[in-house]
Amino acid sequence: MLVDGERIAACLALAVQYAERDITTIEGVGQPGSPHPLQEAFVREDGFQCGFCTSGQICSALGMLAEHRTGMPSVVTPHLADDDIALTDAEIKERMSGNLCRCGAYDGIVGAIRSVADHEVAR
Amino acid sequence: MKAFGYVSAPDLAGALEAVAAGARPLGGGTNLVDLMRADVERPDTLVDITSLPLTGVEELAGGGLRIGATVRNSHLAADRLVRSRYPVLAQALLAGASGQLRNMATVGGNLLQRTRCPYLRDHAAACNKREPGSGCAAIEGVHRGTAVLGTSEHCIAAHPSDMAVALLALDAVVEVQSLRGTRRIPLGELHRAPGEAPHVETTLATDELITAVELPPAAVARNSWYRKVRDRASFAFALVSVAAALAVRDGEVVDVRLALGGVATTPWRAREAERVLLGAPATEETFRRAAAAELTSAVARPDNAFKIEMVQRTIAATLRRLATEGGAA
Repeated sequence: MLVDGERIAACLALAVQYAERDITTIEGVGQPGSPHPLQEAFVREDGFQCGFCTSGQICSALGMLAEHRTGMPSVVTPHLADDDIALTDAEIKERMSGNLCRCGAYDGIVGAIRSVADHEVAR
Repeated sequence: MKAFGYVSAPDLAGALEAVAAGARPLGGGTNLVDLMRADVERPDTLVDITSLPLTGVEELAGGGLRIGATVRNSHLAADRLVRSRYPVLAQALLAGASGQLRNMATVGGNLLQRTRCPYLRDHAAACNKREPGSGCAAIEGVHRGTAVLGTSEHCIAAHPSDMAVALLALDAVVEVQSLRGTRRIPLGELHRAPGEAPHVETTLATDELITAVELPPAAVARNSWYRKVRDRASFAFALVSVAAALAVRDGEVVDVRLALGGVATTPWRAREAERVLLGAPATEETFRRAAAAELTSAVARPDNAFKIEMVQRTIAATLRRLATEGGAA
């Protein structure tokens, strides 16, 4: 889930620690009838099979894209001191490694995130 | 999970009072809450220290860095000064856990995280860390992930931190406060080898709280690298890891820092290897000889013996990288 826009693992969060904070779960992403562009991309790119991990994948990806926009490097970033870090597939995979998909929809998940990231860059 | 009390510390004095009264400090909770759920940690009271003003990363006069104890791992990894001056630290942080967990985990909590030896959380098995005097199930049991350095007949659990390995190579100093005052502990003296008392994991007194970590200036750290070898490429603990910084002039090693993870019961400074390297030609032969010197005291068990060769190769590969292509910045 997202706390003030930053992704965390809800399963290890004591709710009392996050009082007064702005919490976003998948229910707060998009609206019925008008999904978020990333939700549309997950449908278009086959980003899921059973759907169990999808809410976490989408919230995590939104947090991940926000981190990337602030210039956050990853362990596969070639030069950590660089200002502009290209969001390659290798970067997306590394940054999304905290979200497991037991169906193995990873290629579709990476494709969905890439299409939204590319769109953001083009804008 | 045992019922527990929760207080949010209003200020540092309040936090120190709560800790002195027996409360356990709570940072991001990524390790403590997990172990509470597993009924391994059973605190009566938690004192949340994440509202305290310990969240800064500040440059010190003279070029060092002061890092507040509750700075999140991700925020420290993203810090511009860390990335350019101490890239090995940024890399080690980014090699740990996942994006979500790095946004939660604090620097102080990372230093105090407990081993991932599976027997720590297995209530059906013996573990001298969980139940002092019960024995060590890992020695005769599943121990592929355990340590080969710093072990005792009472515990062979590996220290899990990546961040601490880089900090140790950088000569970090830990600032600790209590109602009795402030003291500064070289990071190499914070963690205790298991010896006869594996459950006593640090040299902190029960009333002490980590408030900051300081890094001295280190020109050599600009050319540094963290190499982590693991079973899967991401979101996994280290089988072995190496934090290294290297300066070579006219083909000779003129400065070097080396620390190891995944292979020891504490973050492990490779002093023997550093002695071999300093002043020697920066060659593959030297790198291998230095690595071998560090591992002479290693004690292998059937399923973790592979780590001894693996870490030597990783030391050599990391130094070779720094001597040829350069560091992570």
